[in-house]
Amino acid sequence: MNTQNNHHLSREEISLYAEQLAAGAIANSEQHIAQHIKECDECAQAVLAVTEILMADLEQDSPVIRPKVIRFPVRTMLGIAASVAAVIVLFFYVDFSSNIQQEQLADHQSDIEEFQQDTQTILLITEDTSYSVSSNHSLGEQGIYPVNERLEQLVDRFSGVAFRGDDVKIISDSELMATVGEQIILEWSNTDHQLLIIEILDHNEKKIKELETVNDKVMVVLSQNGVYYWKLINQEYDLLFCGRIHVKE
Amino acid sequence: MKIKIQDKLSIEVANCVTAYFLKRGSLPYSEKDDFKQEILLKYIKQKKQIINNYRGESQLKTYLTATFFNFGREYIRREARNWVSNNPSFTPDEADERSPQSSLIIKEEIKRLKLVIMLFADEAAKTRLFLKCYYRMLVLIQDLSEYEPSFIKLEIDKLLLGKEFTQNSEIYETLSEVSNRVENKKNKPDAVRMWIKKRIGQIIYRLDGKYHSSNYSEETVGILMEYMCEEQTKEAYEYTE
Repeated sequence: MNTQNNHHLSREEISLYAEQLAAGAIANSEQHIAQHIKECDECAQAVLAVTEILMADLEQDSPVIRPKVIRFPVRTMLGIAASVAAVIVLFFYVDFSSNIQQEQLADHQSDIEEFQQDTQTILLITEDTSYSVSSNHSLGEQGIYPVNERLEQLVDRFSGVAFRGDDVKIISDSELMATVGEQIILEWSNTDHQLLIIEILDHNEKKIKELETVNDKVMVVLSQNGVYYWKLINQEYDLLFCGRIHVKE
Repeated sequence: MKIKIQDKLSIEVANCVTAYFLKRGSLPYSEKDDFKQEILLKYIKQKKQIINNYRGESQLKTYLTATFFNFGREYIRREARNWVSNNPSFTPDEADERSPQSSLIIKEEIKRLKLVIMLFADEAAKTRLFLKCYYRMLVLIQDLSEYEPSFIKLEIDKLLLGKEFTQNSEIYETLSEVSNRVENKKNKPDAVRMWIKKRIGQIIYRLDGKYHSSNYSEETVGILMEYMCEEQTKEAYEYTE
């Protein structure tokens, strides 16, 4: 492992040392890392912060101990059945968990090529929108989320319509499915590079984000589950398109 | 059309790092969303390089935590001058130990101090022992054995156990004698004085951080040390019972 050129520790050296510190096992760490941290306040602060975040995470994840409950015989039978099921689930969990890290890394690496696409604008929405099931809702594979009737009508109107305006052609589907944190591309053709406005709205028709672009796509990351809508508007404020985005957990 | 990227982990880590900076008072609450957005954007832009540099020796989540922490620190360095901090600073002497909130903060700060001392690695036990002497705290056998397992043979216990120092010069003289016996050196008391001052300076810096809102001084580090030692003594007492 190489320390970075500026003589500070690399991120991986910092994270490895933080893991060892959190586990009370810094005696196992490499000598040069320990020596560096002893003297370098910058790296020591980074290690301290990462360790604290790790430890807070571990405390959160620690299981809640519940009191034992004596069951009736029928329930005992159900309990045994449930335990058998739990053992099976646990078996699969253990089987898979050893590969989780490799899978995460593989996921990241396989995504890299796709990431290199020339996406001109990146938009991140981080607002917290909590949902409760209401009378108007959408039932999809992602679950039940409230929808907006007015915007639903707009989506229906634009569904399957590719051309809007002289030069703008919608490429994205009118309905997009994604999971929380997944990156979604909203795409159209804009050969004349005309100024366009993109609006992202929630199910209450509240505008979460608005941005202007002369490009032909934006990347969206939604950090909360639910149903969202996106509008593409031209300079004359003509609505060119309205699409729906389902975000599930 | 969408890119298939399961990037929930990076958002989770960005949330944890944001919460950390908020908790430490380095980040005003009003900046929370901008901060999180900035570190995530930076990550997305540099993702290829970040992942290429990852060798799999630590957990991916920890590696991303270190990465996001770095981004966060850069952001705060750049933006902090524009912020008017409303976050109250914390020092242990201002804390009322009796209030549940303060005792919780003190507990957390004790935990941080323990980690900061552990970061001195092979000099952690020496740091703990010398600071206890410097702040006139009760030295325990455990402190001596952690510093030097053959402390009885070197008769260090006779120099430090039950000793009540009145003058700083007396402390430096005794500790120079102790360290010379253990490390087989010929350090003068002034070298010990400088060593202790340097260590306290490092502890203050590491506890405070450049942009954290806590405001430690040599005196308040001493108060925190006292709390830490009280806890240590209590633990030792419970163990012997």
